[in-house]
Amino acid sequence: MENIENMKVVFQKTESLYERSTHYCPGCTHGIAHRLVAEAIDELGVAGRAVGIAPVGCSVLMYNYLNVDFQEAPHGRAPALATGVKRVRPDTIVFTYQGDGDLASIGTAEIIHAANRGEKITVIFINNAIYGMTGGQMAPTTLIGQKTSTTPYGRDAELIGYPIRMAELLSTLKAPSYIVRESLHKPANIIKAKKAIKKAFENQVKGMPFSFVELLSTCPTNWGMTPIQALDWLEKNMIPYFPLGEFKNIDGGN
Amino acid sequence: MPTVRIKKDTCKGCELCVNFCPKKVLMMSDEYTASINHNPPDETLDDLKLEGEINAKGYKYAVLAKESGCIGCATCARVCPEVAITVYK
Amino acid sequence: MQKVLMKGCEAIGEAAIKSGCKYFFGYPITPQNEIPEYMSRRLPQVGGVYLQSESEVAAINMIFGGAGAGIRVMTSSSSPGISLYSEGLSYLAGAGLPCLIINVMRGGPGLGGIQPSQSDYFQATKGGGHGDYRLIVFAPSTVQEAVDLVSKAFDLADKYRNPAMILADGIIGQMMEPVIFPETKPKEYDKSWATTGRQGKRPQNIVKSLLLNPEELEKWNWELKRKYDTIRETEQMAEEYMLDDADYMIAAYGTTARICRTSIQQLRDEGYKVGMLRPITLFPFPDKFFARYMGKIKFIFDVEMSTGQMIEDVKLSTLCRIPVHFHGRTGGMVPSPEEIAEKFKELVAKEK
Repeated sequence: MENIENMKVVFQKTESLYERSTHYCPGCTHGIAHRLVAEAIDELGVAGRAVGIAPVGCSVLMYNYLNVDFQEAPHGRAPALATGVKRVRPDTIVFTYQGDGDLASIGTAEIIHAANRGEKITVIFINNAIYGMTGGQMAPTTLIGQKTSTTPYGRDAELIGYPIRMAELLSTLKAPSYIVRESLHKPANIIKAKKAIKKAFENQVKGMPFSFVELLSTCPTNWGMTPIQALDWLEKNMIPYFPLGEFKNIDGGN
Repeated sequence: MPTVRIKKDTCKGCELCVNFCPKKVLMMSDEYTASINHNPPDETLDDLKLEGEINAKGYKYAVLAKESGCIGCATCARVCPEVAITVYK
Repeated sequence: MQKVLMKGCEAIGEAAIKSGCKYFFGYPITPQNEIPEYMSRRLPQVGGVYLQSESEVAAINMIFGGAGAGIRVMTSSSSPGISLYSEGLSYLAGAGLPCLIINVMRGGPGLGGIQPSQSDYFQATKGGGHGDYRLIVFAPSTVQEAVDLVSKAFDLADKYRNPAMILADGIIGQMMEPVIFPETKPKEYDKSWATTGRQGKRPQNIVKSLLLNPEELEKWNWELKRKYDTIRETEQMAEEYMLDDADYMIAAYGTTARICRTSIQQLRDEGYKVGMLRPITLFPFPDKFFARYMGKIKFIFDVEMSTGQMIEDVKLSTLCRIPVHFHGRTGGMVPSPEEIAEKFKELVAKEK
């Protein structure tokens, strides 16, 4: 094998990520999203000022993976906690990291109003069209026809409506400065997602209001697929309904 | 020559790195042991002692099967949900 | 120090500012709207932040965020809004966070009415939300006492890292009385556990209430219990009014106690030896004070603006050895001093 002692490191784990194994399922894209958030924080040099708000969901233990201060919110309330932290300590860099139950179901009031007030926070929204932690129930973002443990016959629009597009919804508000949807299913998308996340944090460093990054993600276990099959399923089924791109960008004239 | 190091016991066998490597230098441990039994590998991997195909967690894990083909693009590292891969050039 | 004539709600707000609290998160609800309105005027003047949340659910969670970041924060609401706080109160106690909550009680249950009541005693003193915890609960009976209890509540909340509540009612909230604001500088408390950003100097602080390992969670619960036992032991407050020579005791708190004071004056004039034990802390319930009167009192007459909640704690603190009678008005009705005195006299007559 090559002797790595005299070689340059081209890619390694960033400082703010703990040297720890996660509890996430094999192939779960939470791991990728966590890395991108940690890298953004480290590259911007704000790890010392960062305060994360962990949600209820698979990523409830996010504080065990990122070495920054954290608060743990009740389900859906992370944007309200973030508001409290940022208002009393405006110098902190505050972010929430939430799943589709947390943000798009129980927490819809909190996210809409934090966005509407233009709270100077960064929100990372993990959309995997299902409830992971509780065992695969329907999420507000579950697709029509998608089978989950509470839609065993497939989601029926007649019965329970359509998946919610949160990025689009929030982009109708005047205050937010940056609203974008990216995906974690392919290397090229992961690179775009990293740029979006970094910008969402950079905006807060610059004192700009509300930045929001929705990340299409996989849940191999509850979708009943292998990790690689899940990436394909995301590409074929989620992207047509949840288009990628910027919905609002104060800098970009959007 | 670029290379990678994969943390064997961190790997959860999701196969994303194997799937996305543009030069196909990575293999899962069971595929690898099967391949070296039938076809000798390109290089001698004396440091790499495969103590069976399963790591401490019980997963099949990813291995660098063809080090000479690695271009150091770090695609594997970027796609790994466990951040188990370090890339060197 | 100057006396100022102020409405209860506003005096409470000013007292909070004087206690070093510059952040208010809350939602309008009758009969306490004067508190958010006052804070929205005053806080920008002192470099603070008034934030009207989208709901009480959001407000209590903003309180969590601010308290978790190590800053004195307060909120206020009334009964139905306090019900919405239940989740947040449980999380605040579970995470060991200090803060001040004002409940200006109104008629319930449900949407109820907007007139004063004391029907949230159970909710306040038994925690309000799920799990094994308590709030530190104070019950002022005058506007001045409300002012004094605000700074006491902040101090005990910080000392014990626990949410504290002031249980007022619509009458105290709306009435105008002269008050003096103490000029003492607020105490400093250790906040090294707060989420202020690691600054690269210390390990991460995590403010949370999740302990998935049952052994750890049990340990934490017993720690909380020890805390509450200490509070029970050392922080009880009550007023003993004309009890030195009393044969009979009235037990009442807040506005009701004020009304009973007038009844007692009337009854004393008529020759009855009656006094009042007025709990000021509802948690910890002042059972030590009640215990002093065992064997000296023929009966306790518990008067509340509810169908009877504090009465249970009164009975417990006297080990059910003294008869406890009850008179209540509820739904927003307020008892008159005369009706309380009449009921008392009937009880004395029946006793003979």
